[in-house]
Amino acid sequence: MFKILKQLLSRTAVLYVLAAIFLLSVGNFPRAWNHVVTSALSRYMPSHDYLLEFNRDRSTFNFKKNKEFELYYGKLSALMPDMPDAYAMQGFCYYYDGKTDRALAAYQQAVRLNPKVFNFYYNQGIIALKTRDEAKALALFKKSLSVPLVDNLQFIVTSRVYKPLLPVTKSSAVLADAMGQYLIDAYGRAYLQALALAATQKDYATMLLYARQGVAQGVLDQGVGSYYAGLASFGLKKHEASVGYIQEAVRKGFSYAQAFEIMGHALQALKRPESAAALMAATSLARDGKIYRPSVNFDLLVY
Amino acid sequence: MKKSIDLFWLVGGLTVLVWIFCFRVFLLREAPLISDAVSFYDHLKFYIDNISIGVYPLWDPLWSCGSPNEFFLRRIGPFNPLLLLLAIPYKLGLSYWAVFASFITFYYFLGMVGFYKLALEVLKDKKSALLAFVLLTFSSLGTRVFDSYIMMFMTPTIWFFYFLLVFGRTMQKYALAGLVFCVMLLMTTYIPFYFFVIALTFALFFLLVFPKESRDFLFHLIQFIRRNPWFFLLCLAAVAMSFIPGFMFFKQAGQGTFAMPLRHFNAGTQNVLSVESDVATYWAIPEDLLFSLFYLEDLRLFDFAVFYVPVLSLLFLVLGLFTHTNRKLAFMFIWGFFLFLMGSPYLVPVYDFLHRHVFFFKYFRNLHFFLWLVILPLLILFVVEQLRLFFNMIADDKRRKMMALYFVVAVHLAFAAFLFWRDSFNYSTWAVVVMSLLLFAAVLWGRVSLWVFYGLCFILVAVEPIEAYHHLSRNVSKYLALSVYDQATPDFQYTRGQKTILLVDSQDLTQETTARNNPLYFGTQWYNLLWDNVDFLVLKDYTFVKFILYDRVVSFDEQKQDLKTLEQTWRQQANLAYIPPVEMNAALKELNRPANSVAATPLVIEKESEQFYVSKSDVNTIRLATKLTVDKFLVFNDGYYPGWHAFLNDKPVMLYRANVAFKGIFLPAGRNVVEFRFGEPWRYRVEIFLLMFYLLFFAGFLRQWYKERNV
Repeated sequence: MFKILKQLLSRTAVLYVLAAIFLLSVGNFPRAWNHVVTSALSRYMPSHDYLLEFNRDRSTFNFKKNKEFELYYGKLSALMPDMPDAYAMQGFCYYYDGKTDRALAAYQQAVRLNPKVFNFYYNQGIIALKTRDEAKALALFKKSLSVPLVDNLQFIVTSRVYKPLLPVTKSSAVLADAMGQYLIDAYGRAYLQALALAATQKDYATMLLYARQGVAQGVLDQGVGSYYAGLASFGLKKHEASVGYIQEAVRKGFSYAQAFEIMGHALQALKRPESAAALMAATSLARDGKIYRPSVNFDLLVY
Repeated sequence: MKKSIDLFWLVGGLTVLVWIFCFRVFLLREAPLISDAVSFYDHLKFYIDNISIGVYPLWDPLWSCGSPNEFFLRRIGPFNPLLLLLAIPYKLGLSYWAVFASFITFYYFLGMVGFYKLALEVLKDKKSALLAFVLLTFSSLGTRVFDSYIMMFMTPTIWFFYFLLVFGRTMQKYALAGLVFCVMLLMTTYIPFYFFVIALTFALFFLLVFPKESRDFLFHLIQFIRRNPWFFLLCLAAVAMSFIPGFMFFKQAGQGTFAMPLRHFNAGTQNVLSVESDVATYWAIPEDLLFSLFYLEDLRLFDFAVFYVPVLSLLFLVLGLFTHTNRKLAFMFIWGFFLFLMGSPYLVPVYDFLHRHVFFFKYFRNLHFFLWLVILPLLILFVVEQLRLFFNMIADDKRRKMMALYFVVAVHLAFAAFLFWRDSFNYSTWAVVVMSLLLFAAVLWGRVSLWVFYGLCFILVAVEPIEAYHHLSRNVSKYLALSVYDQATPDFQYTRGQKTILLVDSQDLTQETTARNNPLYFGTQWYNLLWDNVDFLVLKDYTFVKFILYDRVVSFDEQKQDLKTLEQTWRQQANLAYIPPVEMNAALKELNRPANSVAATPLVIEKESEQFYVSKSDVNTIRLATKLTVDKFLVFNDGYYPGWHAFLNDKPVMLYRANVAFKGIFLPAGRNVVEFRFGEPWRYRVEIFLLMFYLLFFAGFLRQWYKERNV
């Protein structure tokens, strides 16, 4: 027995065991791990110039650079698993790498960690749209719009992951203003996507709700909002309201063929055929160059 | 014996060729040097440029609009006789890059040959020493040649330990001379405190693990001193002399005349070389290791500063887990482990303790250097010794050979499973694992001899680095930019080019609190003031010309007055120079004229003319001839610094600190000859004496080695 023990103790592995025992008894692993991870990731972080440029102009996509960021955010989320923004950025890179399943999974993980971030849902909605799952996309856009803008703004300006990607300003107030405006535009995009999808799915109740809500919040163009409200009202057979909304839309500059056409149909339903006929004629005139086409934008938002 | 010599030359030669092939992109300058290697290239060029025309460069007019060159001389190790040899092909017309690339390759392999000899001393086995040589050569230490100047102290450190072991074993004079010469180099190259730590910890753990051998060594040393008192005294004197430049530089740093804000911004001591603990602990050994792991999962991402050893060494490490340990292994393990602990400040408080209680720990910051300087070579010696013990353990025992074969297969399968689990894309790693298994199986079955095994290991070691360094070559930027030192010409230039100031990028996730943006790396303390307080473009525009003749001079106290006043004056190009109030004297009072009595703008010298031209110049001296119609105040936009002297018609005159950071003199009307000279004559004598002394000592050491080579 003693001989076996002596044999075992004379092996090189014993040195490792002793070193491990020593480290486990005196080492401050949580403190060391925290610092080591932060420092190593900071150095590993690629230059953000590319992402900043790509965020401004999506035509500058570079596969190699995107891959670098994919790996970086992958490491960041693996080593700091409580950072939802890291998962989101990883998802962003996956999406542009053509890995939509992975992108979706990354955004879902981000939502699990923080369910109150607009772009986590919005970007998932875009991915669902890309994969032609329109019902899911609409549900996700709805969720994105349920996130209060102020909470989202707070999240973005305090995020360490987004920090290098934010506009460079010395004042936090200026940054908050800039990001506030950015979010207003982003929410506007989400409303447009939700309205276009609701229109396709003939979900008029949703369409009416979001059209009115978007206009009331000031993030949706009033002309477009009123048009969708008019369209929804027409679908819901509220013809009087529909005419009112469309008139409002035209007043706000939404003078597209569809607006006149719907108003014409609504007036016809309201038994006002003379006005309807005039509007139908106007519609055919307007069709030449003024057909409203909701823009299809499959770009994800960085934050 | 013959076989070992043949194999050494075959494997050694192939190693050199493959290494050069791996780094050909850098050696042929198709990709640029990175990081500190750029500074090394620049400062060495500056040194060689000047030494080759007989000027010892104590002043660098190209750095931060003129800075003392002592700091950069300390970095490159100016007394190293091998550096002087560079001047010969350079003078003969070879391009500087060709000279430089040849030198760094040669110096790297000088270190590797030293490591081979050291391994031979430690392992007492030629096959193992050769394997250790190949493993270290193909480790990522080779990449550091192109992104740092670590080799400048790695090579002498390796040779130091080689001579120390030889001296301990033989007590021969040449070995003592060799180790003394290495100490002399290490004392005058970069920061000697890394070597202090390495040598002291080595001595401490050697004493602990080898008490009897330590006692014997001391006993033999005393006998050696008795036999060779004068030789020993000469060695002691040589070591003492090598401390002189470092000591002088240290004293100079204590006066605060130059600034290193990046290093010293919050160090809490007077000496600008000192380093705050936070700066040193920010990047240490575990940080370096984790950072490297990010890249090693996929060799296609390979980059500089990644700590990498060929995968074969890791297989050896695992295979050697159950070999019998010996004191050599224990010593290497304990020493390396201690340095790992010291270099892991967030894990254990060893560094914190040493930083507080040992003075020289306040003067170096790169704790991760110990990973490259000691832990890497120790790891390689350790695994090679383990492998030797592994083969010794199973020699001539069939049952043990069979068990070893099972173990080898299990280890390789486990390794392959690990690679599979990590989703490894590295084909060369897979190839090494498979070939290693076959080779081990062949040797354990008795199909190949150990000599063949060790010889073939060369292929297994080299396969993976060839892939890694191929990716490195592809991943680096190919953008080549000429530095200001490349563009420097022997003729005096009246204006500066675009790059006068070094910008430091500091984008960082953790950098939220202490560091200022773009601090100056190195410069005079007054230039640092301007750097921090004057608009960068205004400063750059102002310093574009080197000479400005002013008609008005007023006093300006930068401690009390806002430097924006100066900035405004430069923006407006006003005819007004500033000097400190204490320097305002009767001669200058005449130039304290009202603004409306003189021209609106000063006379800016952008090229030579009959009225003003430079008749002679080198980096330490400049001589001008002037012919003015009225009295003027000449501002020479080259850094003001103690040690500069001004002469008017060969008579010493007062040198003013003009416009906060530059040199100025009063220039009377008429023909004059002005000279600015840097440094006292004794300083040059000391430097030249040391240069000669190092050269002679080196020659003497080589002669002694030749004499004693067969003893």
